[in-house]
Amino acid sequence: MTALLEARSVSKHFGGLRALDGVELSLESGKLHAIIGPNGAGKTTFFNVITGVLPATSGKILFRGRDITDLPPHRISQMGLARTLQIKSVFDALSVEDNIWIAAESRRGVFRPFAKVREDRETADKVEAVLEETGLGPMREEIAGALSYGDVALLEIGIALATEPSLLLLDEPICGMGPAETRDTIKRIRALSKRIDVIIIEHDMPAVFDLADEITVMVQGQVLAQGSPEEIAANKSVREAYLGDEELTDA
Amino acid sequence: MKAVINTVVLVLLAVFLVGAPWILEFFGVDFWLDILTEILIWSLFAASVNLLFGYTGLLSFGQALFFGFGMYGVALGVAKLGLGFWPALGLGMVLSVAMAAVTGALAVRLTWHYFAIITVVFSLIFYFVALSAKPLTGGDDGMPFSMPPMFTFGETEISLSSFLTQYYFVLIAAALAFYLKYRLVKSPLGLALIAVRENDARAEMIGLNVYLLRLTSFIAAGALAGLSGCLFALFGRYASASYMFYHVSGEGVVWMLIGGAGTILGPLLGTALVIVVREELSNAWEHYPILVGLVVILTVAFAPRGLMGLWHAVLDRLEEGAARKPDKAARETTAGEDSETVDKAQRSGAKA
Repeated sequence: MTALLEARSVSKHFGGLRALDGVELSLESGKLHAIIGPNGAGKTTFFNVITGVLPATSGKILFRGRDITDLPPHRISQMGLARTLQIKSVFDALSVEDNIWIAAESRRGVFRPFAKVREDRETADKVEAVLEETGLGPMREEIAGALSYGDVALLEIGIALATEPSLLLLDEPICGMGPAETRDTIKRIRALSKRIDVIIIEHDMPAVFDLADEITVMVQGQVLAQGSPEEIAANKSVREAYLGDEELTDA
Repeated sequence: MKAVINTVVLVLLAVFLVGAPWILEFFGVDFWLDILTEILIWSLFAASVNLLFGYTGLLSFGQALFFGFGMYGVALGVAKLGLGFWPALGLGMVLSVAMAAVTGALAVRLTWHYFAIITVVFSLIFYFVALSAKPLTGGDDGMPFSMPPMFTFGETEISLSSFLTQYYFVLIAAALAFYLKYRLVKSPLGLALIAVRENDARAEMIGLNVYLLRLTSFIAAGALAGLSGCLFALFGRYASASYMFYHVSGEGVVWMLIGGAGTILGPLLGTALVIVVREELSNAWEHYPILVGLVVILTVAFAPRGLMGLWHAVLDRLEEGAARKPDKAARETTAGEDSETVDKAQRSGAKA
């Protein structure tokens, strides 16, 4: 079976800094994956290289068996790979609804200068489904730039979902959320992972060990360990490098 | 209420524009028809800057290049190639669009100040080319041509030498261009351009080809500037290298900013205002551009969406005021709520 995502000795160097230093990784479809690791381990850089935002210095990335290493971000998005960003980034001057609309329209191709936005029934249904799935419905008219931080994080997920991905990369989706929002979002992510593949970067260890079917630990631009939450919790080198003891009792 | 007021204003504007020859004559100021024609032509130029800056987030200081290519396409077509009215107009459009495609392919790889600089550089290069190719272009003395007829029916010729024909020809062309721009802005393509303006990195990540979108906008803007140049050549019956100078590009930016970046009719409003001020003041006070400059500074500082933005803000205010009146408790508005109203009004101004 072809892997969902495969990294073959992927490196990314910024001058002398080896942000990614030969990442070897193969993730299966059908599981909720989490990538954890200390700050500066290269997790977000890895997402940036996967999605074409940064070119890899060397190595290969395969998405469902197809080489996506040198493709531009919009092509990778069109192949069904979506992501959210750690530093939240939406279309500030547009309403919540228009943010979702543009993402949904991009799937139909936007070079239709004489069509009307919001004309297409099918796309409208899709937008409604996303508003429903993310719980953004009541805020549809709000201007995105005026949303609270937690709602922007939800909108990030909404925009990504509107592109109809088969794989969704979430970069610290619950960072900055209050406890109630966090619980709610975790529930939504779990529901999502039943439908599409999800890879999540997260620092909130209780959330990670609660959500993930499989955990990959990155340290200093390399994969240190990969396994089930139980295996990772028991892994000695992971404890030494990253987790420490007290955090595991939480898990 | 807002929609009603806007519709009424639009209808009044349409009635005025269609009836202008008689309205102006009635008030004994029929020489203003010529100025009105000029305003309509230049408003297309401001609309060109607006499509790039207001809707795509690219500030061009080089739109005069495409204006000049449209202008010379028409003038050279008539004077050197002996083309008729429509083929010359077609040549002007083809040349300006082709030029926009070629320079745009390079320019839209850059953004912000680098983009602004490269557009200035391109327009300066061709300004000096046009200036030095005097035998062909007439340099800054210009190149006059005699107007070919639009249509010939046996003995009768219809040509722009009639002020009335000229005015209606320009009005129809401008109305058509503004309508097409309106359709574009309200289409999925327009929403995609706004997405690029707002957040190009995110736009690329949701599957939009940002480069191609910017290039499309650049070419469409080149067509608008080119049409403006074609019409101006026909209006003045000449072309001149001096219209390719960056000073002309800068005026387009000024008109757009005053009228309202990212609004449909802002460019028309801004162009009309500045040209009317010029006509009224330039004889009495040669330093009138100081006044224009002051208005630009005030606009940029206090009304980022220009006069159209202010208009929408005022309408929103009125609407909220009207909605609030029946409820007496609402009089106890706190200052905080008030600033929120303004804030919201400004934002919806940005949306329109």
